[in-house]
Amino acid sequence: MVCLTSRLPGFVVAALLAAPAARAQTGSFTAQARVVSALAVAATSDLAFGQITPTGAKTVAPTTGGRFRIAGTRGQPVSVSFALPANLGAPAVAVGSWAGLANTRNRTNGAAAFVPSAAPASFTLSAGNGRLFLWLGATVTTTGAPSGTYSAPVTVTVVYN
Amino acid sequence: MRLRSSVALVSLAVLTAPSLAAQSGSAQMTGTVMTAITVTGSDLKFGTVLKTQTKTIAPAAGGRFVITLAANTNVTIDYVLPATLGPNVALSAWGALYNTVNDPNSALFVPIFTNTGTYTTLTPTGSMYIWIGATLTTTNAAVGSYSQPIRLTLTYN
Repeated sequence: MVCLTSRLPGFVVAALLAAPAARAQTGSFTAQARVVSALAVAATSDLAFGQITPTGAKTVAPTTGGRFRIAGTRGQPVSVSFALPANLGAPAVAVGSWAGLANTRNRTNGAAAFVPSAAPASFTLSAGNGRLFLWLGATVTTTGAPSGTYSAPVTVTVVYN
Repeated sequence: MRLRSSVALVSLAVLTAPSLAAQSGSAQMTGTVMTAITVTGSDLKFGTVLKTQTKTIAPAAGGRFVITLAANTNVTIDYVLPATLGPNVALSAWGALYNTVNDPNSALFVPIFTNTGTYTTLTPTGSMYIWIGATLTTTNAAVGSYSQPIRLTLTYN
């Protein structure tokens, strides 16, 4: 047997040895999913500008502005986007210069500043309890606005990444 | 006499054996060097799902196997698909797209009715692309990450 093998041409020996490895191949990848709890978003405080003159400007900082509380699965990244009004129901009562703060704890100390916009921004829910708090501030500018009460909704949309 | 003549015949056979050992013979031995099969893949990702939800990933957007092998050679494909990713995380409605070029849009849809099975095919290009999708259904599943392997074994016929 040894004698026979040594007399075979080299390429035949190589083929016989290599054939088992080349003949079959297994590939494997995974099907994967992450189960998360439903997101809950609550507006816990309105952005209230209070009283303002018919023509004037008033800024409310995020630390004293509106607040949203978000709850979901711990440590999960989420995308947050806003639908922000351009005015409070009348062109003479414009609102802009939006500013935001975000924190996984319910306090503005140590919160990260961000600029709210319609473009999704990524945040991560608290690794401890799945919470995220957002504060919003803005500047309202009146230009000969009639006396009255004005309001407009601010909508936040949160989705898991 | 008969006995003696028989003995003589046996002796003759023994004596002629050395001359047979000196003869030569040959046999043709051939082998075919096959192109090694390679299989690489990307995962079938369902992303985040709620504790109770149904989510379908179409094959074109699902996991993908990229296979290289000898062109125009029959090959058997054995597949093993998971039925679940874990407790209360079921998989169903598997489907696949098959193509010899990397284009799911012109691929042939292949329904998959069982979680294990076999196909025999060949490719003129020496390449195969298989995209796999499925439907995931969670029923009050526990929060967490789940995964299971999808296996494809190709064997030259």
